[in-house]
Amino acid sequence: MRPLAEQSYYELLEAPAEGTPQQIERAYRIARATYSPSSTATYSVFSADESAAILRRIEEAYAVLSDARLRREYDARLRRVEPRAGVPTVPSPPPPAAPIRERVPAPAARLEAPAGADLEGGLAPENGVFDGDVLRRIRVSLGIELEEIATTTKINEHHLRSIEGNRYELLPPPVYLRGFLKQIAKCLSLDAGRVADSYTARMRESSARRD
Amino acid sequence: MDRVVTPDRARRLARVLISDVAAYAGDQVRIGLEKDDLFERLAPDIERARVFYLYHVDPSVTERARLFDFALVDVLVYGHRRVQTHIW
Repeated sequence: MRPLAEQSYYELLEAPAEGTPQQIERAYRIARATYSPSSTATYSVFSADESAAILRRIEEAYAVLSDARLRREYDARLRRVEPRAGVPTVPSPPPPAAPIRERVPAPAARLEAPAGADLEGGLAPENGVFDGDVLRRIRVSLGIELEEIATTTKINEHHLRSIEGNRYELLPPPVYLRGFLKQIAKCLSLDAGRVADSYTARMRESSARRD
Repeated sequence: MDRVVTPDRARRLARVLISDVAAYAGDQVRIGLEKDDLFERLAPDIERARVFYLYHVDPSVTERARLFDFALVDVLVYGHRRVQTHIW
């Protein structure tokens, strides 16, 4: 693995160079969670200072790659730098148009979920199950209003509330529901197939218990 | 969820929480404005949102509590300014 300063932003986030904004967002969240000081994966590997430096660079990478214009400029610079054997090909980053925090709209949430309390839920669902409650927690963590999801996906807010509230009796037929769930998952940068499978499985379990 | 340490993110979180209160309250916002008892009517939901907000927003954030109150008025009152009520 190359030293941190020599890695391109894509390498740093482990995101594909042709990745979609959703893939970049997802890679960013995973990278942040992996290198956060509380991460069980890396806490014994990096000191607090090293973690902070890596996280700063991750923020920098995300600030550039999440902005279409800055990303185009960065990609162009990346292509212009001639690779030589053993020499890193990292261009200097373009100057951000505004402070990183101002341009990153959604708060990045950790992937690891602290056990227990409703108030402390993280992004990853316990037991790997995406139910309505988990989807709502993730949405709030990302700073996304229900109305924004409705506007983006064209799904009626009534259905969104029913999905988040696990009001299975009010939900549309499964074929439509799966489509809705996939769209919601995309808005939240989650694995669409996994969310749809998990939610509908939970719904079936609940129906079976009722019958 | 990460600790919120900037006013922008705090403002955003407050808006999301209050807009959720409004979205899940259904007609209660309109009725509350009409009867002028909006905040009493939604008190449990608002309080729950406030607890969540204060739990996640770092005390070092300037005017932390006021940001929540601003969102409360902005989303619940100004956001429903077309409701016919004697209070305006």
